[in-house]
Amino acid sequence: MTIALSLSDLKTNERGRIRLCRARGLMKQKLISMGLIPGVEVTVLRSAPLLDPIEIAVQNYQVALRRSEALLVEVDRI
Amino acid sequence: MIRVALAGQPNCGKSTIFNMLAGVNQHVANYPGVTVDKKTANVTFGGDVYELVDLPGTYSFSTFSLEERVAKSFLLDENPDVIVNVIDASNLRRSLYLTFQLLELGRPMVLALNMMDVAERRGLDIAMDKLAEMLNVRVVKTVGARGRGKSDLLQAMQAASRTEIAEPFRVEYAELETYIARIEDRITRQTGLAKRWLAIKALEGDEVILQKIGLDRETITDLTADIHSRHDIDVDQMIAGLRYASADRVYHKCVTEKSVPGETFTTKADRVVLNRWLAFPILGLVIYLVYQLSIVWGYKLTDHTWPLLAALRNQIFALLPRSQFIHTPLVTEFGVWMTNSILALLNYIPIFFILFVVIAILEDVGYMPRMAFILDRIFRKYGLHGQSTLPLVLGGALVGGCAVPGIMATKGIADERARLATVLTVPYMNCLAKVPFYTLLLAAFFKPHMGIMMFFISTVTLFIALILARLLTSTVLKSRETAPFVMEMPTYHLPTIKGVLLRAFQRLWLYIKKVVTIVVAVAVVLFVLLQYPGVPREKMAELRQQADSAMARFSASVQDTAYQPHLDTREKIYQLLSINESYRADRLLARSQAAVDQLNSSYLERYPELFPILLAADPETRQINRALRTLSNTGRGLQLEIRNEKIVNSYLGTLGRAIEPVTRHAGFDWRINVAFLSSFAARESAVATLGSIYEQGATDASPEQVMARDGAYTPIHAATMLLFMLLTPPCIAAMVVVKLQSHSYLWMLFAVLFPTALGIMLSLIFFNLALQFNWSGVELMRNFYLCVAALTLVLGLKKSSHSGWQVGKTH
Ligand SMILES: Nc1nc2c(ncn2[C@@H]2O[C@H](COP(=O)(O)OP(=O)(O)OP(=O)(O)O)[C@@H](O)[C@H]2O)c(=O)[nH]1
Ligand SMILES: [Mg+2]
Repeated sequence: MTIALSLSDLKTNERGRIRLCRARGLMKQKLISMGLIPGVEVTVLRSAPLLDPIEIAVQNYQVALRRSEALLVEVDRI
Repeated sequence: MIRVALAGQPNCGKSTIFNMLAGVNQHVANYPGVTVDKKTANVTFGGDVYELVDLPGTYSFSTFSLEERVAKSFLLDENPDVIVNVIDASNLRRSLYLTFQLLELGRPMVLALNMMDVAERRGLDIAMDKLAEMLNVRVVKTVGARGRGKSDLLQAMQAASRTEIAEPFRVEYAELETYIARIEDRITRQTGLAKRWLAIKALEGDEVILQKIGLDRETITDLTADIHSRHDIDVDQMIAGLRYASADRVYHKCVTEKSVPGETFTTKADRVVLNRWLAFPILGLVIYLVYQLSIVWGYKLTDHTWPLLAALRNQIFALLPRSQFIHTPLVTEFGVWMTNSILALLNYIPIFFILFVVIAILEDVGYMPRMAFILDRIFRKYGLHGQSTLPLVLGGALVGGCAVPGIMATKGIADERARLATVLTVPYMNCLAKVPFYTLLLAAFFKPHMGIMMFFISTVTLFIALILARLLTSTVLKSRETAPFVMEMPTYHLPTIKGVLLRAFQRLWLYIKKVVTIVVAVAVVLFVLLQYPGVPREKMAELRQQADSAMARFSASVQDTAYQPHLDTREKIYQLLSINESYRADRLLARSQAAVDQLNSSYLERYPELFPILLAADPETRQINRALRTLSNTGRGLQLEIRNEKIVNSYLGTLGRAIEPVTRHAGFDWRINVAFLSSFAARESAVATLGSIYEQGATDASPEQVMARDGAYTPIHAATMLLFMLLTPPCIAAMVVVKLQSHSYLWMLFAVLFPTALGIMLSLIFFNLALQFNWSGVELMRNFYLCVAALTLVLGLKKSSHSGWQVGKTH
């Protein structure tokens, strides 16, 4: 296993598999209901013109999230 | 009556289906305590009456966001007879996640596979029978946007309402089943809801459900800890994972993807729309178009609609008792005042309508979330949200707008703190009706510098709004609920004309209902405050004397003419005066020569004896006409003086004078105070009141000329007035909407008092600084501008302690 990588560390067009989600409460629920759960594959599509937030593809659709939120999602690069 | 709830994930077309079923027959209700509307409508089908409820979209069924709370509490507490689960068929797998949770409720349900057109275009072949069998529900295909599938859906609703669910659908929760069973055994209370569903929700740690079934958290914590130690994953994530796995299974059994989906239109479009270099120019273009279409063209459109309103106004005025030279009956004064107040608002309807149409289009297309995506980084620094962009633009971030639709557009902002901050800062944007006031002062005092002054005025407001948003969110709003920025970027859709117009009309109607009623109430209050106690007796006697001698002079001049018999009593002269007035008003509206001819002949028919005087075609009538004009001018002068005296003596005038000792230090005398006070009903009246206070007798000079010549004010005064006007609270209509969107009279009060206090304070400071350092009016404005801009920059660069989402905080 490599060092812990967060979703925010992935570059555009890189893919990763969610390993762990450190969020709690509302944030965790929100991520779960959008399908960001351990084991799921994500692709970073782009970052906003000002570099934050980022847009990712997950479960067959697109989701935008801030980097501060993406930091809470640990991924393995694939 | 059969109660039917429309539930589904955001943007799947629930409201479209709702409109398809209900037509225009609907009723929008504001759900108490939350920001989301719940729409209901009654539909009759096959002899039954169905009450449809359009719920807000939810991805899941927890109780974290407002929308979810509304949807969930409705489904739990109001126990609808049938649930219609609307699904985006082109996104079936994800949609099933919510469907499973709805199915577990164990209520009769219909699955509406909406957006079938999109699904077909993507080459998805959905086996409906298979899906219906697997989920044990009725499945219908619909295309809401085209009105397809209406009768199928109604039939399915009817059938569902007549069946009881014996065995609700079960998602297999594998290793969790034993835990679910264990909780089920402990549920003793009767809640009318499926036990299994309650147990699953309890296991997920849902507070509301735990309370409902009377279990405490500890029991659950033991179980979840146990599960965690065995499977090394949180229970809620595990449950979600199992649901997604089930959805996968159902999807693969029921759907065949005929063609390999290539790159979708959305992907291609986003590559341009969200491109690093193109995003801002495109955004700028969109904002410019919104502004141009609604504000600029809408304003032009009012040029055409105003004559209609004016004609209506003349008709209403014609019904009121005539004034008798200088004496105007109270009913008439009241009628005129109310008509003018209401028409001033109705005049803006074209602007609002276009605005609502444009917003509906942007919403339907799916550009709103993109806008938030692009700008979030900037707005977040000041405690706002990417989604604050549109409300601020509508409010008038570019030269002019209106706070009312601006505040109404804050509804979609997910983050409660940012939403409230937006609601409270939109009123600082430049309202369109402030523009005449600015132009009046600029034309009177800053003729050579109008351009630069207008630039200061139109851009400083955005800075002020950002500063205040930052201050508010780090103080009074600090403890407000915030939400993580995790937002689906929906696929682009082509909006339909029907859908857009329907929504625009609904919003317009809501606006008229809510806003106009309140404005009427305030107009009444203001009328009383400006009308009483009235002109002092001696003054009135003096004015009456003057009126009598003017009348006598007129009588003398018609003495030896052929018209004398028609003008031998006061009443007859009064009649001539009022014919003269209504003729002039109608004449203004007649554009072509043909219209004028027609007007003349109709007047001649109605008043064969007197009308020739107004036509003044021969020497005799011309002479009488001249005398009449003198009389009418004198009358108007006297009426103005009466009006002036009334305002000076009125309660509002007294108040204006009472606060003069304070406001004098900012350069405001009582006349300006009265103007500001009365402008609170509607911005337009600031200019009108100033105008009527300044109109001295019947001069032809415009108010700005009179003001400039008056000598009481210098450019510094004017600049201070501008500064105060920039900060003054918006009109009462905007305040009503603040109340509607913040659900609190306290916030409304705050929105009135805070800017007023701030405005007075800053006016005082800058007025005195200007006196101290001998600034010119323009310098005063420039220095104010530089201060505000610098503060904005400093706040933006300073790292705020709470700019992001706070981890672990839920309420
Ligand atoms: N192509 C297509 N578009 C549709 C269909 N039904 C609805 N739409 C469009 O989808 C968009 C969203 O529809 P809404 O009815 O507002 O969705 P909603 O589920 O009420 O959304 P929320 O209230 O935000 O949860 C609109 O632009 C509709 O015009 C359909 O069957 N086909
Ligand atoms: Mg809706």
